[in-house]
Amino acid sequence: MNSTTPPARVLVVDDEPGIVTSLEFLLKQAGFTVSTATDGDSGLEKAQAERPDLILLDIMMPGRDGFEVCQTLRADPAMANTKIVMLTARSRDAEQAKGLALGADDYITKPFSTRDLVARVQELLAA
Amino acid sequence: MKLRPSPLTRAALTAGGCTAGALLVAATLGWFALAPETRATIGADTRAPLLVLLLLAAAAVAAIGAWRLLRPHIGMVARVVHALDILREANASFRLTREAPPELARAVNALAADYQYRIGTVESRIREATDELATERDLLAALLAQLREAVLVCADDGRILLYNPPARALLSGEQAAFVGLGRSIFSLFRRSVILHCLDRLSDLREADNEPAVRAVISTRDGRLLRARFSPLREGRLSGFFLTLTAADSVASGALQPEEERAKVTDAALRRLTHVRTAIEALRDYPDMEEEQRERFLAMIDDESAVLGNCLARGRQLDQSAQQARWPLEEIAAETFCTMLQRRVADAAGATVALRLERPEDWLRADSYAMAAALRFVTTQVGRELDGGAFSLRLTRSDGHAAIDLLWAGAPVPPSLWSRWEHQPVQEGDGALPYTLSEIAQRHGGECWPLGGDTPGARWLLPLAEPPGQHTDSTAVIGARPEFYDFNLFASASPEDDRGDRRLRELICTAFDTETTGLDPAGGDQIIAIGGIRVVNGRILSQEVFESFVGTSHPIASSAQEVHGISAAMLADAPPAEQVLPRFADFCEDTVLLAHNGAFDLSFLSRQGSALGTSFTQPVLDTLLLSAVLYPEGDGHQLEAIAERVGVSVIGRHTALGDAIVTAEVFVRLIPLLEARGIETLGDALRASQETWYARLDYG
Repeated sequence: MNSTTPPARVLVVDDEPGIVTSLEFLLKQAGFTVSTATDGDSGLEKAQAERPDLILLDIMMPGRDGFEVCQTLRADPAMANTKIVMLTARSRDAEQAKGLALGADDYITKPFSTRDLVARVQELLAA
Repeated sequence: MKLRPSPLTRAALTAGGCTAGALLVAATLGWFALAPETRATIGADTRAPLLVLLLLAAAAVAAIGAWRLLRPHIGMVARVVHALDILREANASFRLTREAPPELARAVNALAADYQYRIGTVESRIREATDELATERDLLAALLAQLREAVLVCADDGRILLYNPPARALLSGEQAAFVGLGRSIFSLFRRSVILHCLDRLSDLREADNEPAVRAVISTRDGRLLRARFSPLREGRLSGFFLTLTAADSVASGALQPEEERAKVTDAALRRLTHVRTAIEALRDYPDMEEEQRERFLAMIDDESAVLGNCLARGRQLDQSAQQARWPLEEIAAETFCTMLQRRVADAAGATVALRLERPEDWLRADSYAMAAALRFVTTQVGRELDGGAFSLRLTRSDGHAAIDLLWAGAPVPPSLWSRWEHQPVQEGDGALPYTLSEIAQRHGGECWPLGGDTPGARWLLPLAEPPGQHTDSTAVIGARPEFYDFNLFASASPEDDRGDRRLRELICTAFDTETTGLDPAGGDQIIAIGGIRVVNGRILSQEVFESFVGTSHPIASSAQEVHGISAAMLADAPPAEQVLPRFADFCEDTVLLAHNGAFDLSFLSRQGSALGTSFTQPVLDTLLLSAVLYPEGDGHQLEAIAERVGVSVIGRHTALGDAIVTAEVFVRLIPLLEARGIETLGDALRASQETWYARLDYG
């Protein structure tokens, strides 16, 4: 990270506290500013309030699922510059196609290597 | 329980009464018709009224006397006519005994003997000819019985014309509806799914030499069956074959995936153990050598990667197992989309444009569920977004077939789509047991709303290889209907007004009940029900209903003497709450047939209405029908009628035994009734209403 620009901000939205804790730790270690949410509704609120540079968004969540959050964010012009990366538990190509169709920039399937995930986040933010 | 005042006594009394009444009126009128001065003259004589009364009494006595004198002769003519009807139409071995004077009886009986001989000769020739035909048919029928698959043959309107024993076994679960000739296939399955498959079939008929539609359909009690529909077109026959196998049993040949599934799970558990061991070692020995530490870390890395692969493989196996239970039909994209176009147009109430980018593609789909999904979205868009001008588009996207439903109006807001996606899909005849999202996932696909300039919704479905020389080896071979009635083809459909249906084409349920006593209002209960179906004048001995009914009500000793059922025999019997609804299913959409039906129905209605089960079918009563044929006769007990028309009475006084005798009597009465111009159900019901017995018991 260049010390003259502020660190990029990443929002992690996932209903499993375990993965939220790990990702928060690892992303902070990689130099990002990290905030977290554990369901779709609070994820949407935080995204709109904080306008992060990138959102890691889980699909399967109680209440609003990742698809609905993604679609709602994409309908908001203020969120146009925020990158959205879907986290999917299944390696189903139709589900990935749906995520991308609803406005996600990329997807990462679980289980993933955290090293790969951090690398992908850096790549997307550099683009 | 069937004792009643003789109708003759009543008739005589009424006739006498009427005559006396008429004379009284005439005399009174006559009195007032006299000139006032004449009346005054007569009136002066105080004996005059007494004289009039005496005259009247004498006239009444004369009328009754005349009636008594003439009665035997009036009755005799009717009895002889009735006997001749029986001879000709029902029972050629019938002979006159007490019905006529001896000379007349002798003459008639001589003619009867000659008639019986001649008819026997003709019948044996006919029998020889039909035997040949029957042999061929039976050979065919034997073949069908050998099939392991359940096979049904239905007319175009859904009535079952034939089924084989496996079909009966498969469809006759504890909760399942009854399979029976002439019953509607719609009583077994959801109407919309059958109509959908038939609609698909008629699309195929034009194009394909051996058309067949496959689908998974669920029975009314929720079991899944794999179904194959194929058309039946043979001479005057037009209908369809339906072959069925249990969806669960389909995968039973494939033990291999299950074994692999178990192995995959075991492997995952082993990998997880390795990972935990490494983590615990790292936690418990923070001071271990760097080289050892690296080895543990590498182990966690590798093992968790393998664990991930194991689970992914497991998921794959689950999916293919699920698809084996829910097989998708391979279907030409064009056919599929044209079908969707019709369904959407139907839901929208307007025409729907269709654009096919790849009409040559084939895809794999549950066409019924997909049609329901698109109809559902169409209806919702019309209702909640006021959208219209629907169109359909087929493209390819991401290695899938993409079906887009587009409309003019607003796109679906995300929250609204979420709601649609996760609620059961509504079809015309109720909610389906799955959601939009589940339908998409069953296809290994997805669906989502399209936004921007072209509001719509997209479904991704798996593509299929276009078929080459696709031959179908599962075509039904011949057909040994163990249970069939092809005459149902010719008869009117069950939706027709039943009143116009001919008696010999009716679908009836002959039934009888046994009870704790004679007083339904006083709490007496049904303790046994027996029923048997009569279709097109044929008694179907395999389609019977027989059950004891448990009750806590004491059984009257007089009743027990008749039917012989004791409380101990009912110890394990199911209660009326179970038996009556099941019996209602058994006789649904049929005409009820009973002897002295008023008695049985008063119990059925009283106990049924308490359970929310109603019996509103038309009821034919053999007692009334006999009275229609033989108004002067007294012998309307079941035994007496049975004897007259040549039905042997075996096994009476069980509910099923009496139901069978009633059915046989009814079949024999049909030609006798027809000879009197009573040909339809409506005729029979009207004539029954007009009999003395009906006025006494049903009025």
